[in-house]
Amino acid sequence: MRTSLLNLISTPIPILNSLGLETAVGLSSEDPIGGRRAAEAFTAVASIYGADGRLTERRVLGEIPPRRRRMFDLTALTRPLVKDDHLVVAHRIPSRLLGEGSDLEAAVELDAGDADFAMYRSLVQYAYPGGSNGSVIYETPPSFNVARPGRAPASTLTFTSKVTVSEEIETALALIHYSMDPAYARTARYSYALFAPDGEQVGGGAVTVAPFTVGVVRVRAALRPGTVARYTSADDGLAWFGYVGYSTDAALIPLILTLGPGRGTVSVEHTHPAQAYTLPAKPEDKHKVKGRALALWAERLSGARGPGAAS
Amino acid sequence: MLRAKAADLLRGRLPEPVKRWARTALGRGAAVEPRLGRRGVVEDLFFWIGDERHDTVLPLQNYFSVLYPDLDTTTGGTLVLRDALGRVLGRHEFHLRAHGITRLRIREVLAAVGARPPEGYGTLRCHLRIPDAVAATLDPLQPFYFWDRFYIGYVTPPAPPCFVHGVDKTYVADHGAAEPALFYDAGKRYAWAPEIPVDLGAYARFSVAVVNRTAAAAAMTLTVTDANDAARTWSADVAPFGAHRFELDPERVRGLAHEDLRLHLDGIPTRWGRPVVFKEFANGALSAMHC
Repeated sequence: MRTSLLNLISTPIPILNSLGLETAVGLSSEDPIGGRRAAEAFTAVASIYGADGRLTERRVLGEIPPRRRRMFDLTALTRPLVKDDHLVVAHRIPSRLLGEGSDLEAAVELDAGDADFAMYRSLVQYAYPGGSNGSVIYETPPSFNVARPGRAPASTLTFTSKVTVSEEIETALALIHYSMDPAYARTARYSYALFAPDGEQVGGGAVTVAPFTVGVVRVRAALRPGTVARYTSADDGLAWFGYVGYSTDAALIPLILTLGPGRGTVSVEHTHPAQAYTLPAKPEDKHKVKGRALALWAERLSGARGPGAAS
Repeated sequence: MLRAKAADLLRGRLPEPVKRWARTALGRGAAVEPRLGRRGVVEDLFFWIGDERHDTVLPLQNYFSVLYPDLDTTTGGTLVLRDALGRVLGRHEFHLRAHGITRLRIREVLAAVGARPPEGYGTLRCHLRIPDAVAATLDPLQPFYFWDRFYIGYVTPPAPPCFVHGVDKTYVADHGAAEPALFYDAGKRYAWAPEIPVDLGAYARFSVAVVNRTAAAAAMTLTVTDANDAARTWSADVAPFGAHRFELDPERVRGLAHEDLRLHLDGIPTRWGRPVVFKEFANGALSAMHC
């Protein structure tokens, strides 16, 4: 199969300067499920995108010897280059595939087994300066936002319950808009709604996310005034909400960050796409359920302009 | 290919009642797993912890409302708690409104069922019933399952919670059935090499939690290796539907260079039953992740 070395193993990582977070990436040379490529060394490469989504720089971070892990400080790498929120993509390339002066962007011919790096994911870690860290592992899904001739663009239907707000705690969503196709140029409009435990819609908004950038949703700002106080629980001091968001323009990867800036705490987790919640007999039925739901959410949230909405 | 050809022939020539029967037969054969031949929910077994320092919180979202926002998706469910040895501690029923969430705290549920398991951790299954209005939309002759991959939160009050999602499958809860079937017939032995680089000096506590999603005991082994390839190993017999927590600290890995450690697990009985690591920090925060 013909593939780009940069797309063999990659993870798009939001650098969230607006939230005051420092970012690091942990990369492993070991097959997580065991058995494949016991002696493989990898070269780690970072593609640094600007706040406008343009590729600013590509740097070799270093080599990961066989059966090793390495952490790389992305804040130290990128802060001199980009001040706002932006994306960095961490790539791993088997070092044996790289020669002197290799063109990283060139497509290479590999047999299917040699190009199989399923479940090779990156550990993405966030922390406030001097604080504790939170981390999550994920990778770029296969053929992510690559155009499919004759078919509609990829889409997003996100939902999550890990949304808490208090005076000290905030939840933020980082919406990663990346593509394995460097020529990808589609801008995504993403609308969202927040629901109270009783099912009442208590906030919402919309953001526009350019390709190769990250959009940020701050939950507190997206809630109607008085909502946090109204729903704060006496036992833990937190207000909990359900979240639904969608885009019919592109697939986005949402990361959900639970932030405690006062104590210097961060936790982070990704979500599963809505279609991952169905196991029909016929795989194509996954997309029927999702497609129908997307149309209904588009109708329901069209013109959503909650507090904090941006566009 | 033969199935597709047969379907094409039937589609054009048979009356509707016969077509429906044929769709069922063909559809069942094409199901993702042979045991997923009806309608229901596939569920995972989750790790919980509830002791003096930790609690577990389940923020359960009515995901049926997301997939069917136009329907009345009011529903309810059952939480089943087990101890580390897989013994049922108790059950808790809950209600969930359309578009709603409900939040269950494990220490509260333990108190309500009068359980105080000495290990302070165990496993849980959370069953959310398919709402009637959703069930009515599903073709009774066409297999269809939801896969509930909900999020579970861990907390060291007053620090905020951290969350992980379901990673594997344990139960098949057919719609209307009183008890679930098991997703896996029998356990096998899988390995997992978590990607996380571990520097034990960065944490006040560090632990690795594993769950046995099968009906047979599983011998699981954690190996910790340093940058010089020196290693230390611990083993645990994890009871059916039980859990085990390996705790690591500089004392336990004495002799290893503890700032650059890597983990390896053997004996995981299900393919995707990878561990959860818990990082606890000097500022009281807890961070959990599947890896």
